[in-house]
This record gives sequence, structure tokens and C-alpha cells, in this order.
Amino acid sequence: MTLFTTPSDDELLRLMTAGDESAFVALYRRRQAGIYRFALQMSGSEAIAEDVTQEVFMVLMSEAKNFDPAKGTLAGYLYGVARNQVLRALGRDRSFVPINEGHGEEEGEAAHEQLVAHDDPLGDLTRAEVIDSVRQAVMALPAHYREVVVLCDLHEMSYAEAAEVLGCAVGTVRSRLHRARSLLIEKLRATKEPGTASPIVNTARCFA
Amino acid sequence: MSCRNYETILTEAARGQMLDAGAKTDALAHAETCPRCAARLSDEKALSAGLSSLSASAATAQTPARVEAALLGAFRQRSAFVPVIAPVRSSGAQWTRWPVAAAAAILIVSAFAALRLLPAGTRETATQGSRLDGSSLIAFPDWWKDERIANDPEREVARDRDERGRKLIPVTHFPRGLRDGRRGLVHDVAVNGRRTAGGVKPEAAASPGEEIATDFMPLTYGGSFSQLDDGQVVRVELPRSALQSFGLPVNVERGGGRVKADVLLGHDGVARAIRFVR
Repeated sequence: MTLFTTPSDDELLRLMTAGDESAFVALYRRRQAGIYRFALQMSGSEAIAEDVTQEVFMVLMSEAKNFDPAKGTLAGYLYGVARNQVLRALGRDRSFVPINEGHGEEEGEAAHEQLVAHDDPLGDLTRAEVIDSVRQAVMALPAHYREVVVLCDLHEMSYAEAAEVLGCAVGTVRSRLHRARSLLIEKLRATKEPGTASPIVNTARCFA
Repeated sequence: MSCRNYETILTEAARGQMLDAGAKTDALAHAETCPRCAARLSDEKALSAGLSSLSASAATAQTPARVEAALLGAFRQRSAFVPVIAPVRSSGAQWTRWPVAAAAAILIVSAFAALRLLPAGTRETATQGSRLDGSSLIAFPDWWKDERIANDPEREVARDRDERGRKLIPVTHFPRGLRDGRRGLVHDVAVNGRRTAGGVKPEAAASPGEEIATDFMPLTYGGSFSQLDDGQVVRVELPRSALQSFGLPVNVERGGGRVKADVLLGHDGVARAIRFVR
């Protein structure tokens, strides 16, 4: 009986560095979707996500020898490169506007109608029709809050993994996530119930 | 549990994270007695559900296939210049010449293909420092200009002189200094095939059977092989058509033959320059 083992990221990287094309393809196919989704969820732009993904693997090609497994995982390294690329792209292109600035009055009304819930204001967030509202609320967050939501809630990373990507302390991730989620609840509630935009949740605590 | 303490574990509780059993029990007990905290937990759970739905909606998002194709092209292009052999140190190490030579030949053929794609201006830059002549961008001895003159006894005398009448000293062996790890020797060797100050002493005067070489010509873009600290020179044989890639004339009557060349390898095993030898 033959046992097949899946090569690790580090093993694929080693082969890739030695010029093994199939190892590069395997590594790309294993990691591209996560990187692409991260960039997409951070930027809201497919074009940026595409560019960022391509750039991440170009960097991997040119700087693979500089990657040190002792300092973290390859996945964390790739997400870290993607994060830098996204922030750079967003800095160049300021056309992405927060949810409250992007809607006209009519659109705002429509969004409000979508989110109206008679007895449980946030209870219907799982409905497909409000996914877009959640997406826009996430996009409206400041980048340093958005990235922890994307990594921890959308990519289901642990605090430690997110901290590795962001290059900060685990406590920082934890406090930023807490604050970011509070902001999201505020934004969604404000969208549903105009006039209640003032903070209804005490979100000033820092747990770092 | 106080509201303040409850707040500290609220996010983890709503996200279904692992919690200490005691803390979880206390939190649930607190939520039952505190409507405000119960509402906070409800909001957090609803948000988690919404975020899960958002995550699921993007679960199938993939990078377009064209990105993979572009990256693969870039990888192949880079691989042409990535050492396919283990880096060989020149100092004192025993090395097997023929496998290295074969690998170098592969690199050179790839480099020829890349050089063909270079616009003329770029090629001029790549050969900066070499003498230019009307038919070629590369400086080379007269005998390269038209191989037919090689059979002309009257031209035999002039073979070892360049256009300005300077004597071209034939190189009969690899520059030994390179293999000894001497620094700065590469630049010396690159000057019209002569070994000058800092290099190994030139061989004695040319005699029948000795070799004549062109200048070293760079194989990499932008890089200057004259800055090379250390390296090896490896003798290879190439198709005669390879001469054309460097603007050297090819005798069509002998087009199917092979020519000798010395390839200058950096300490990382990457071919940096080449010269043709006769």
C-alpha cells in the first residue's frame, strides 16, 4: 500500500526555488484563492484583487530565498505581502467610498427597506439580500479595522495567525476586532434605523 | 460577572471561540440577568451570522485563469536565468566540468532566445564598452567578420591584431585566476581577450593551435559582469547559429557546425558572459 502525502508549503517553495514549475503551480493553486478573496474583501475591487494576487506571487518568485520559515508560515507571509499591496493600491485609488457616502437618497431608502426588521433589527442579517449591506459596512470600516474583520471573521484565522499577517501583537488583533465588530453593528443599525446613528454601544474599551 | 467583564469575552462568545468553561457559564448567567448584555450578545451573534454569509458568498471567488498564465510565463522566463546546477565555488573545490558545461549551454541557449527579443537600443546598451563596427554591435577579431578569410594565407598574419592594429593575445586556457578565486580578474580578462594587470600573465606568444577569443559579452540584462567578484569560466560547444544571436557573422557554408565558447559563470552558477573561441 502506498501512502501519498501532500507536500507542505515549505517543501513546494523549496522545489519552486530550484526551478520546479509544477511546484510553483501547485503552490499557486493552493494559495491563490485565499489571497484573491482577501484582496477582494479588503478593496472591493476585482481589478485590484487580481493585480494584488499577481504581484504577491511575483514577489514570491523574486524573493523566495528571503523567506524564513522560522519567522512564520508561508501563508502568513503571502497574506502579509497581499496586505501591503492592497494598502498601497488603496492609497493610490481613493475612489472607494464608505457605504454612507456612496448612496444617494433613493438608494439609501432602498437599503433601509432591505434591512427593516420589525422585532429583531439584526436578526435577519443572514438573509441573502442583506449580504451586500454587510459587505458595504465592512468596506466602510477604516483599513486597520477592516483587515482584522476580513482575516478573523471572513477567513477564520486565529488571533495569532492574524497577528502574524499584520505584524502586531495578538492583543492588538483582539482589541481591534472587538472595536471593529462594534462599529459594524453601529453601521448596520444606523442603516436600518436612520436617526440612531449615535453610538449605542460602548466601544471605547481597548483590550490590548 | 460584571458587565465590564462580560464585554471582554463578548466577541469570543459570539464568534463561537473556545472559552474557559467557568467563564462561559458565568457569561450566560450574566446575560440572563442583564438585558443590555443579552442584547449585545444577540447583536454580535447576528453579526457573526451575517459575516458568515458574506464569507460563504465569496467562497468560490478565484483568480482569473489569465493570472496563472501570466505568472507561469514569468516563472519560465525567470527560470531561464536561475541556476539549474548547484552553485559551484571556484576556490579549491573539485568540480565536474562537463555537467556544468552542459548546464551552461542550456542557459546560454535560453539567453540567446531572450537576446533576440531585445530591441536594438537595449542590445547596444548591453554591449556598452565594446567597440562598434559597421556590421556588428560586438567587438570581435577580424577573423569573425568573415570566416572565409581564415583560409586566406595572406590574412593569417593579421588575425592576431584588431582594427587598430593592436595585438590580440590568444587565450589558450581558462583564466586560472578565476578558478583560484582571485578578485577583479574578470574585468581584466574581458578586455579584448587580453589578460592585463591583476590577472594571470598572458600565455606566451601565439603559436599554431592556440586559441583566439572575442571579448566577453554580457548575457544578463542590466548587470555588469565586470563587477563580478568571483566566478568560473567553462568551455562549451554551441551551434554555429548562436553567433548570429550576438551579431557575429555566420558562414552559411559552415552553418551546421559547432563553435567553442567560454561561459563566465558567477559564483551563484548563473551565466554572466560569453566569448567565442577559435
